[in-house]
Amino acid sequence: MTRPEKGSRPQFPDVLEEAPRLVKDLLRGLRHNLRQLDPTRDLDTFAQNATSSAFPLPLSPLALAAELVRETRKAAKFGSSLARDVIDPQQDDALLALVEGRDADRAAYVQARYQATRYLMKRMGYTDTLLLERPIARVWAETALSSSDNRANSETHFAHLADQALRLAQSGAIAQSDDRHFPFRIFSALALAEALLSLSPNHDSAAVMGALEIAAEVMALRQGTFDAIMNGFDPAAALAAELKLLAPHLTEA
Amino acid sequence: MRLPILPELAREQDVRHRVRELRFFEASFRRNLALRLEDTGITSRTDRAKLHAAFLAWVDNFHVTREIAETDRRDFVCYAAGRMLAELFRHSPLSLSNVNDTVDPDLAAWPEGSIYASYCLGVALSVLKQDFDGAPSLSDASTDRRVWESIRENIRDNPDYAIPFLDLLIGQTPNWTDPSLPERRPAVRAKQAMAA
Repeated sequence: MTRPEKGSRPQFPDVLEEAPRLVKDLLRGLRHNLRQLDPTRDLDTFAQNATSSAFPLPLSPLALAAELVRETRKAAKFGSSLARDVIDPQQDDALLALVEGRDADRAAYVQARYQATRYLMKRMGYTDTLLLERPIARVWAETALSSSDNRANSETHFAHLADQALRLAQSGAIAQSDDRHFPFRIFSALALAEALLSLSPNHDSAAVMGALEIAAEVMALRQGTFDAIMNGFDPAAALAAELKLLAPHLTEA
Repeated sequence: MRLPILPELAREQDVRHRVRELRFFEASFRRNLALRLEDTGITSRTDRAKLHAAFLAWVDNFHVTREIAETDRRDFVCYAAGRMLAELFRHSPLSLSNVNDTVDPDLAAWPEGSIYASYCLGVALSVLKQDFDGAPSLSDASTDRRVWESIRENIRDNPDYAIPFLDLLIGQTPNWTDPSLPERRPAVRAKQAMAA
Protein backbone atom coordinates (compact mmCIF):
# COMPACT_ATOMS: atom_id res chain seq x y z
CA MET A 1 0.00 0.00 0.00
CA THR A 2 1.41 3.37 -0.95
CA ARG A 3 1.20 6.27 1.44
CA PRO A 4 0.14 9.65 0.20
CA GLU A 5 3.05 12.03 -0.26
CA LYS A 6 3.69 14.46 2.54
CA GLY A 7 1.78 17.67 1.97
CA SER A 8 -0.51 16.23 -0.67
CA ARG A 9 -4.28 16.46 -0.21
CA PRO A 10 -6.13 13.37 1.05
CA GLN A 11 -8.13 11.79 -1.79
CA PHE A 12 -11.12 10.51 0.19
CA PRO A 13 -12.77 13.86 1.04
CA ASP A 14 -12.31 14.98 -2.59
CA VAL A 15 -14.17 11.92 -3.79
CA LEU A 16 -16.98 12.56 -1.31
CA GLU A 17 -17.25 16.18 -2.34
CA GLU A 18 -17.10 15.23 -6.00
CA ALA A 19 -19.98 12.73 -5.84
CA PRO A 20 -22.89 15.22 -5.82
CA ARG A 21 -21.31 17.11 -8.73
CA LEU A 22 -20.98 13.87 -10.67
CA VAL A 23 -24.66 13.08 -10.14
CA LYS A 24 -25.74 16.60 -11.01
CA ASP A 25 -23.64 16.64 -14.18
CA LEU A 26 -25.07 13.27 -15.22
CA LEU A 27 -28.59 14.59 -14.69
CA ARG A 28 -27.72 17.73 -16.62
CA GLY A 29 -26.50 15.58 -19.51
CA LEU A 30 -29.69 13.55 -19.38
CA ARG A 31 -31.85 16.65 -19.30
CA HIS A 32 -29.90 18.13 -22.18
CA ASN A 33 -30.43 14.99 -24.25
CA LEU A 34 -34.14 14.98 -23.44
CA ARG A 35 -34.43 18.58 -24.57
CA GLN A 36 -32.66 17.76 -27.80
CA LEU A 37 -35.12 14.95 -28.46
CA ASP A 38 -37.66 15.76 -31.15
CA PRO A 39 -40.31 13.03 -30.81
CA THR A 40 -42.44 14.34 -33.64
CA ARG A 41 -39.56 14.22 -36.09
CA ASP A 42 -38.23 10.87 -34.91
CA LEU A 43 -41.62 9.15 -34.76
CA ASP A 44 -42.89 10.60 -38.02
CA THR A 45 -40.01 8.82 -39.68
CA PHE A 46 -40.87 5.65 -37.78
CA ALA A 47 -44.57 5.91 -38.73
CA GLN A 48 -43.76 6.37 -42.39
CA ASN A 49 -41.55 3.30 -42.35
CA ALA A 50 -44.21 1.31 -40.51
CA THR A 51 -47.04 2.14 -42.95
CA SER A 52 -44.91 1.21 -45.93
CA SER A 53 -44.48 -2.34 -44.65
CA ALA A 54 -47.01 -5.00 -43.63
CA PHE A 55 -47.84 -4.68 -39.92
CA PRO A 56 -48.32 -7.97 -38.08
CA LEU A 57 -50.97 -6.80 -35.60
CA PRO A 58 -54.36 -5.15 -36.22
CA LEU A 59 -53.13 -1.86 -34.70
CA SER A 60 -52.57 1.40 -36.44
CA PRO A 61 -48.86 2.29 -36.35
CA LEU A 62 -49.78 5.97 -36.70
CA ALA A 63 -52.05 5.89 -33.63
CA LEU A 64 -49.33 4.17 -31.64
CA ALA A 65 -46.78 6.68 -32.79
CA ALA A 66 -49.00 9.62 -31.90
CA GLU A 67 -49.56 8.22 -28.41
CA LEU A 68 -45.88 7.63 -27.99
CA VAL A 69 -45.14 11.18 -29.07
CA ARG A 70 -47.54 12.55 -26.46
CA GLU A 71 -46.11 10.42 -23.65
CA THR A 72 -42.51 11.10 -24.57
CA ARG A 73 -43.11 14.82 -24.74
CA LYS A 74 -44.78 14.77 -21.30
CA ALA A 75 -41.84 12.82 -19.87
CA ALA A 76 -39.30 15.15 -21.44
CA LYS A 77 -41.10 18.20 -20.13
CA PHE A 78 -41.42 16.75 -16.65
CA GLY A 79 -37.80 15.62 -16.61
CA SER A 80 -36.60 19.01 -17.74
CA SER A 81 -38.64 20.92 -15.14
CA LEU A 82 -37.62 18.52 -12.40
CA ALA A 83 -33.97 18.77 -13.31
CA ARG A 84 -34.10 22.56 -13.45
CA ASP A 85 -35.76 22.86 -10.05
CA VAL A 86 -33.75 20.20 -8.26
CA ILE A 87 -30.23 20.40 -9.68
CA ASP A 88 -30.09 23.88 -11.17
CA PRO A 89 -32.03 26.29 -9.00
CA GLN A 90 -31.19 29.93 -9.68
CA GLN A 91 -29.05 30.96 -6.70
CA ASP A 92 -28.20 34.63 -6.87
CA ASP A 93 -26.61 34.44 -3.42
CA ALA A 94 -24.08 31.95 -4.72
CA LEU A 95 -22.86 34.61 -7.15
CA LEU A 96 -21.55 36.69 -4.25
CA ALA A 97 -18.57 34.31 -4.03
CA LEU A 98 -17.32 35.80 -7.31
CA VAL A 99 -16.17 38.74 -5.20
CA GLU A 100 -13.89 36.47 -3.17
CA GLY A 101 -11.98 35.47 -6.28
CA ARG A 102 -9.48 32.72 -5.67
CA ASP A 103 -9.93 32.90 -1.91
CA ALA A 104 -13.29 31.13 -2.15
CA ASP A 105 -13.42 27.48 -1.11
CA ARG A 106 -14.07 24.89 -3.78
CA ALA A 107 -17.83 24.61 -3.32
CA ALA A 108 -18.37 28.38 -3.35
CA TYR A 109 -15.95 28.86 -6.27
CA VAL A 110 -17.70 26.24 -8.39
CA GLN A 111 -21.24 27.37 -7.57
CA ALA A 112 -20.45 31.04 -8.22
CA ARG A 113 -18.83 30.35 -11.58
CA TYR A 114 -21.48 27.85 -12.60
CA GLN A 115 -24.29 30.31 -11.85
CA ALA A 116 -22.44 33.23 -13.43
CA THR A 117 -21.62 31.24 -16.56
CA ARG A 118 -25.21 30.12 -16.88
CA TYR A 119 -26.35 33.73 -16.55
CA LEU A 120 -23.87 34.90 -19.21
CA MET A 121 -24.88 32.13 -21.62
CA LYS A 122 -28.55 32.98 -21.17
CA ARG A 123 -27.85 36.70 -21.55
CA MET A 124 -26.00 35.98 -24.80
CA GLY A 125 -28.83 33.86 -26.16
CA TYR A 126 -27.51 30.33 -25.46
CA THR A 127 -30.16 28.65 -23.34
CA ASP A 128 -29.78 25.07 -24.58
CA THR A 129 -26.03 24.64 -24.14
CA LEU A 130 -24.92 22.01 -21.65
CA LEU A 131 -22.87 23.38 -18.76
CA LEU A 132 -21.11 21.07 -16.27
CA GLU A 133 -19.73 21.66 -12.77
CA ARG A 134 -16.98 19.07 -12.48
CA PRO A 135 -14.66 20.70 -15.02
CA ILE A 136 -14.99 23.98 -13.08
CA ALA A 137 -14.01 22.14 -9.89
CA ARG A 138 -10.93 20.76 -11.68
CA VAL A 139 -9.90 24.30 -12.65
CA TRP A 140 -10.22 25.35 -8.98
CA ALA A 141 -7.93 22.48 -8.01
CA GLU A 142 -5.40 23.47 -10.69
CA THR A 143 -5.25 27.12 -9.74
CA ALA A 144 -6.26 27.52 -6.10
CA LEU A 145 -2.88 26.67 -4.61
CA SER A 146 -0.75 28.74 -6.95
CA SER A 147 0.62 31.90 -5.37
CA SER A 148 -0.49 35.20 -6.80
CA ASP A 149 -0.76 38.89 -6.14
CA ASN A 150 -4.43 39.44 -5.35
CA ARG A 151 -4.36 43.23 -5.59
CA ALA A 152 -7.15 44.21 -7.93
CA ASN A 153 -5.11 46.40 -10.24
CA SER A 154 -1.93 44.33 -10.35
CA GLU A 155 -0.55 42.75 -13.52
CA THR A 156 -0.59 39.33 -11.90
CA HIS A 157 -4.25 39.63 -10.96
CA PHE A 158 -5.28 40.24 -14.57
CA ALA A 159 -2.90 37.47 -15.67
CA HIS A 160 -4.55 35.11 -13.19
CA LEU A 161 -8.04 35.97 -14.46
CA ALA A 162 -6.92 35.43 -18.07
CA ASP A 163 -5.30 32.11 -17.18
CA GLN A 164 -8.46 30.99 -15.39
CA ALA A 165 -10.59 31.97 -18.42
CA LEU A 166 -8.42 29.90 -20.75
CA ARG A 167 -8.44 26.91 -18.42
CA LEU A 168 -12.23 27.08 -18.06
CA ALA A 169 -12.68 27.43 -21.83
CA GLN A 170 -10.57 24.32 -22.38
CA SER A 171 -11.99 22.38 -19.42
CA GLY A 172 -15.08 21.01 -21.14
CA ALA A 173 -17.42 22.84 -18.74
CA ILE A 174 -19.27 24.05 -21.82
CA ALA A 175 -19.59 20.57 -23.18
CA GLN A 176 -21.11 20.96 -26.60
CA SER A 177 -20.78 23.90 -28.92
CA ASP A 178 -20.50 24.11 -32.68
CA ASP A 179 -18.62 27.39 -32.35
CA ARG A 180 -15.12 26.76 -31.04
CA HIS A 181 -14.81 30.41 -29.93
CA PHE A 182 -17.93 30.27 -27.79
CA PRO A 183 -16.44 28.86 -24.52
CA PHE A 184 -13.57 31.36 -24.70
CA ARG A 185 -16.00 34.26 -25.17
CA ILE A 186 -18.15 33.20 -22.24
CA PHE A 187 -15.27 32.66 -19.82
CA SER A 188 -13.56 35.86 -20.97
CA ALA A 189 -16.78 37.69 -20.12
CA LEU A 190 -16.70 35.99 -16.72
CA ALA A 191 -13.09 37.12 -16.23
CA LEU A 192 -14.07 40.67 -17.16
CA ALA A 193 -16.93 40.60 -14.64
CA GLU A 194 -14.51 39.38 -11.95
CA ALA A 195 -12.05 42.14 -12.86
CA LEU A 196 -14.81 44.75 -12.53
CA LEU A 197 -15.84 43.38 -9.14
CA SER A 198 -12.28 43.35 -7.85
CA LEU A 199 -11.97 47.06 -8.71
CA SER A 200 -15.42 48.03 -7.43
CA PRO A 201 -16.05 49.16 -3.84
CA ASN A 202 -19.54 47.61 -4.03
CA HIS A 203 -19.82 43.88 -3.46
CA ASP A 204 -23.56 43.29 -3.10
CA SER A 205 -25.88 41.31 -5.39
CA ALA A 206 -26.69 44.38 -7.49
CA ALA A 207 -22.99 45.02 -8.12
CA VAL A 208 -22.42 41.39 -9.13
CA MET A 209 -25.39 41.38 -11.51
CA GLY A 210 -24.31 44.76 -12.91
CA ALA A 211 -20.80 43.45 -13.57
CA LEU A 212 -22.14 40.36 -15.35
CA GLU A 213 -24.53 42.49 -17.38
CA ILE A 214 -21.87 44.90 -18.59
CA ALA A 215 -19.42 42.05 -19.26
CA ALA A 216 -22.01 40.31 -21.47
CA GLU A 217 -22.69 43.54 -23.31
CA VAL A 218 -19.02 44.28 -23.88
CA MET A 219 -18.51 40.75 -25.18
CA ALA A 220 -21.33 41.23 -27.68
CA LEU A 221 -19.84 44.55 -28.82
CA ARG A 222 -16.25 43.30 -29.05
CA GLN A 223 -16.73 39.70 -30.13
CA GLY A 224 -14.30 40.14 -33.02
CA THR A 225 -11.59 41.42 -30.69
CA PHE A 226 -11.96 38.48 -28.32
CA ASP A 227 -12.04 35.95 -31.17
CA ALA A 228 -8.81 37.48 -32.48
CA ILE A 229 -7.28 37.17 -29.00
CA MET A 230 -8.14 33.48 -28.91
CA ASN A 231 -6.63 32.93 -32.35
CA GLY A 232 -3.52 34.95 -31.54
CA PHE A 233 -0.01 33.98 -30.55
CA ASP A 234 -0.40 34.34 -26.78
CA PRO A 235 -4.11 34.40 -25.80
CA ALA A 236 -3.40 34.54 -22.06
CA ALA A 237 -1.18 37.63 -22.30
CA ALA A 238 -3.50 39.32 -24.80
CA LEU A 239 -6.58 38.64 -22.70
CA ALA A 240 -4.85 39.93 -19.56
CA ALA A 241 -3.94 43.12 -21.44
CA GLU A 242 -7.52 43.54 -22.67
CA LEU A 243 -8.90 43.08 -19.14
CA LYS A 244 -6.42 45.62 -17.81
CA LEU A 245 -7.38 48.10 -20.51
CA LEU A 246 -11.15 47.74 -20.17
CA ALA A 247 -11.84 47.11 -16.51
CA PRO A 248 -10.99 50.56 -15.07
CA HIS A 249 -13.34 52.22 -17.58
CA LEU A 250 -16.25 49.90 -16.84
CA THR A 251 -16.07 49.71 -13.07
CA GLU A 252 -18.76 51.25 -10.94
CA ALA A 253 -17.17 54.10 -9.01
CA MET B 1 -25.20 77.41 -28.50
CA ARG B 2 -26.69 76.26 -25.20
CA LEU B 3 -24.52 74.08 -22.95
CA PRO B 4 -26.91 73.28 -20.09
CA ILE B 5 -24.74 70.46 -18.73
CA LEU B 6 -21.87 72.86 -18.00
CA PRO B 7 -23.02 74.11 -14.54
CA GLU B 8 -23.79 70.54 -13.44
CA LEU B 9 -20.40 69.22 -14.56
CA ALA B 10 -18.76 72.15 -12.79
CA ARG B 11 -20.06 70.74 -9.51
CA GLU B 12 -18.46 67.35 -10.18
CA GLN B 13 -14.91 66.68 -9.07
CA ASP B 14 -12.22 65.53 -11.48
CA VAL B 15 -14.36 65.42 -14.62
CA ARG B 16 -11.22 64.66 -16.68
CA HIS B 17 -10.90 61.22 -15.08
CA ARG B 18 -14.55 60.52 -14.35
CA VAL B 19 -15.63 60.87 -17.95
CA ARG B 20 -13.40 57.89 -18.71
CA GLU B 21 -15.84 55.73 -16.71
CA LEU B 22 -18.71 54.27 -18.70
CA ARG B 23 -21.32 54.87 -16.03
CA PHE B 24 -20.43 58.54 -15.57
CA PHE B 25 -20.25 59.01 -19.33
CA GLU B 26 -23.67 57.45 -19.88
CA ALA B 27 -25.33 59.28 -16.99
CA SER B 28 -23.94 62.68 -18.03
CA PHE B 29 -24.79 62.06 -21.69
CA ARG B 30 -28.39 61.26 -20.79
CA ARG B 31 -28.57 64.22 -18.43
CA ASN B 32 -27.36 66.59 -21.16
CA LEU B 33 -29.94 65.12 -23.52
CA ALA B 34 -32.74 65.68 -21.00
CA LEU B 35 -31.63 69.25 -20.32
CA ARG B 36 -31.19 70.04 -23.99
CA LEU B 37 -34.66 68.77 -24.92
CA GLU B 38 -36.46 70.24 -21.92
CA ASP B 39 -39.65 72.07 -22.99
CA THR B 40 -38.98 71.50 -26.69
CA GLY B 41 -41.58 68.82 -27.38
CA ILE B 42 -38.86 66.75 -29.06
CA THR B 43 -38.84 63.09 -28.06
CA SER B 44 -35.71 60.95 -28.00
CA ARG B 45 -34.59 57.35 -27.95
CA THR B 46 -31.04 56.37 -27.00
CA ASP B 47 -29.68 53.04 -28.22
CA ARG B 48 -27.69 51.88 -25.18
CA ALA B 49 -25.55 49.39 -27.10
CA LYS B 50 -24.57 52.01 -29.67
CA LEU B 51 -23.79 54.52 -26.93
CA HIS B 52 -21.55 51.96 -25.21
CA ALA B 53 -19.94 51.06 -28.53
CA ALA B 54 -19.09 54.73 -29.07
CA PHE B 55 -17.55 54.88 -25.59
CA LEU B 56 -15.48 51.71 -26.09
CA ALA B 57 -14.20 52.96 -29.44
CA TRP B 58 -13.20 56.19 -27.72
CA VAL B 59 -11.43 54.21 -24.96
CA ASP B 60 -9.47 52.25 -27.58
CA ASN B 61 -8.32 55.43 -29.27
CA PHE B 62 -7.54 57.06 -25.93
CA HIS B 63 -5.12 54.28 -25.02
CA VAL B 64 -3.43 54.39 -28.42
CA THR B 65 -2.95 58.17 -28.40
CA ARG B 66 -2.58 59.11 -24.73
CA GLU B 67 1.22 59.38 -24.96
CA ILE B 68 0.72 62.50 -27.09
CA ALA B 69 -0.89 64.13 -24.07
CA GLU B 70 2.59 64.51 -22.58
CA THR B 71 3.42 67.10 -25.24
CA ASP B 72 0.44 69.38 -24.62
CA ARG B 73 -2.18 68.24 -22.13
CA ARG B 74 -4.55 71.13 -22.78
CA ASP B 75 -4.59 70.44 -26.50
CA PHE B 76 -5.10 66.73 -25.85
CA VAL B 77 -8.27 67.52 -23.87
CA CYS B 78 -9.65 69.24 -27.00
CA TYR B 79 -8.55 66.33 -29.20
CA ALA B 80 -10.11 63.74 -26.86
CA ALA B 81 -13.42 65.67 -26.76
CA GLY B 82 -13.37 65.90 -30.56
CA ARG B 83 -12.67 62.18 -30.78
CA MET B 84 -15.66 61.49 -28.53
CA LEU B 85 -17.80 63.65 -30.83
CA ALA B 86 -16.51 61.68 -33.83
CA GLU B 87 -17.42 58.35 -32.19
CA LEU B 88 -20.91 59.62 -31.34
CA PHE B 89 -21.42 60.58 -34.96
CA ARG B 90 -19.97 57.26 -36.13
CA HIS B 91 -22.18 55.09 -33.88
CA SER B 92 -25.19 57.41 -33.89
CA PRO B 93 -26.92 56.27 -30.67
CA LEU B 94 -29.63 58.94 -30.70
CA SER B 95 -32.90 59.11 -32.62
CA LEU B 96 -35.15 62.14 -32.27
CA SER B 97 -38.69 62.77 -33.36
CA ASN B 98 -41.20 65.63 -33.25
CA VAL B 99 -38.49 68.13 -34.14
CA ASN B 100 -40.05 71.53 -34.73
CA ASP B 101 -38.96 75.06 -35.60
CA THR B 102 -39.73 76.57 -32.23
CA VAL B 103 -36.45 75.42 -30.66
CA ASP B 104 -32.90 76.85 -30.87
CA PRO B 105 -31.74 77.37 -34.45
CA ASP B 106 -28.90 74.82 -34.16
CA LEU B 107 -31.22 72.27 -32.57
CA ALA B 108 -33.81 72.76 -35.32
CA ALA B 109 -31.21 72.61 -38.09
CA TRP B 110 -29.41 69.47 -36.92
CA PRO B 111 -30.84 68.09 -33.66
CA GLU B 112 -28.61 65.03 -33.17
CA GLY B 113 -25.44 66.94 -34.13
CA SER B 114 -26.34 69.79 -31.83
CA ILE B 115 -26.90 67.45 -28.86
CA TYR B 116 -23.69 65.46 -29.43
CA ALA B 117 -21.71 68.68 -29.80
CA SER B 118 -23.26 70.30 -26.72
CA TYR B 119 -22.27 67.26 -24.64
CA CYS B 120 -18.67 67.07 -25.86
CA LEU B 121 -18.20 70.84 -25.61
CA GLY B 122 -19.64 70.76 -22.09
CA VAL B 123 -17.15 68.09 -21.03
CA ALA B 124 -14.19 69.80 -22.73
CA LEU B 125 -14.95 73.20 -21.20
CA SER B 126 -15.48 71.65 -17.76
CA VAL B 127 -12.11 69.93 -17.87
CA LEU B 128 -10.35 73.02 -19.19
CA LYS B 129 -11.91 75.07 -16.40
CA GLN B 130 -11.04 72.57 -13.67
CA ASP B 131 -7.55 71.59 -14.71
CA PHE B 132 -6.19 74.34 -16.97
CA ASP B 133 -7.00 77.67 -15.34
CA GLY B 134 -10.24 78.52 -17.05
CA ALA B 135 -12.23 77.64 -20.13
CA PRO B 136 -12.39 79.68 -23.32
CA SER B 137 -15.65 81.11 -24.64
CA LEU B 138 -17.18 79.46 -27.66
CA SER B 139 -16.18 81.08 -30.94
CA ASP B 140 -18.60 82.90 -33.25
CA ALA B 141 -18.60 79.80 -35.46
CA SER B 142 -20.79 78.07 -32.90
CA THR B 143 -23.76 80.24 -33.93
CA ASP B 144 -23.03 80.29 -37.66
CA ARG B 145 -25.55 78.11 -39.43
CA ARG B 146 -23.27 77.76 -42.49
CA VAL B 147 -20.57 76.19 -40.31
CA TRP B 148 -23.06 73.61 -39.00
CA GLU B 149 -24.27 72.81 -42.51
CA SER B 150 -20.71 72.44 -43.73
CA ILE B 151 -19.68 70.09 -40.96
CA ARG B 152 -22.83 68.04 -41.36
CA GLU B 153 -21.88 67.39 -44.97
CA ASN B 154 -18.25 66.63 -44.13
CA ILE B 155 -19.09 64.26 -41.31
CA ARG B 156 -21.17 62.15 -43.65
CA ASP B 157 -17.95 61.36 -45.54
CA ASN B 158 -15.68 61.07 -42.52
CA PRO B 159 -16.87 61.35 -38.88
CA ASP B 160 -13.31 62.26 -37.82
CA TYR B 161 -13.95 65.77 -39.16
CA ALA B 162 -15.79 66.25 -35.87
CA ILE B 163 -12.36 66.74 -34.28
CA PRO B 164 -11.34 69.92 -36.16
CA PHE B 165 -14.96 71.06 -35.97
CA LEU B 166 -14.84 70.98 -32.18
CA ASP B 167 -11.46 72.78 -32.30
CA LEU B 168 -13.08 75.50 -34.38
CA LEU B 169 -15.91 75.98 -31.88
CA ILE B 170 -13.58 76.03 -28.91
CA GLY B 171 -11.02 78.37 -30.49
CA GLN B 172 -8.24 75.82 -30.98
CA THR B 173 -6.41 75.76 -34.33
CA PRO B 174 -8.02 72.91 -36.33
CA ASN B 175 -6.15 70.28 -38.31
CA TRP B 176 -8.31 69.62 -41.36
CA THR B 177 -5.67 67.56 -43.17
CA ASP B 178 -5.16 64.70 -40.70
CA PRO B 179 -8.02 65.13 -38.25
CA SER B 180 -7.57 61.79 -36.48
CA LEU B 181 -3.81 62.09 -35.84
CA PRO B 182 -3.10 63.92 -32.58
CA GLU B 183 0.62 64.08 -33.33
CA ARG B 184 -0.13 66.23 -36.40
CA ARG B 185 -2.14 68.83 -34.53
CA PRO B 186 -0.81 72.39 -34.82
CA ALA B 187 -0.45 72.85 -31.04
CA VAL B 188 1.51 69.59 -30.70
CA ARG B 189 3.79 70.38 -33.63
CA ALA B 190 4.45 73.85 -32.25
CA LYS B 191 5.44 72.41 -28.87
CA GLN B 192 7.66 69.81 -30.53
CA ALA B 193 9.33 72.49 -32.65
CA MET B 194 10.02 74.56 -29.55
CA ALA B 195 11.54 71.59 -27.78
CA ALA B 196 13.77 70.68 -30.73
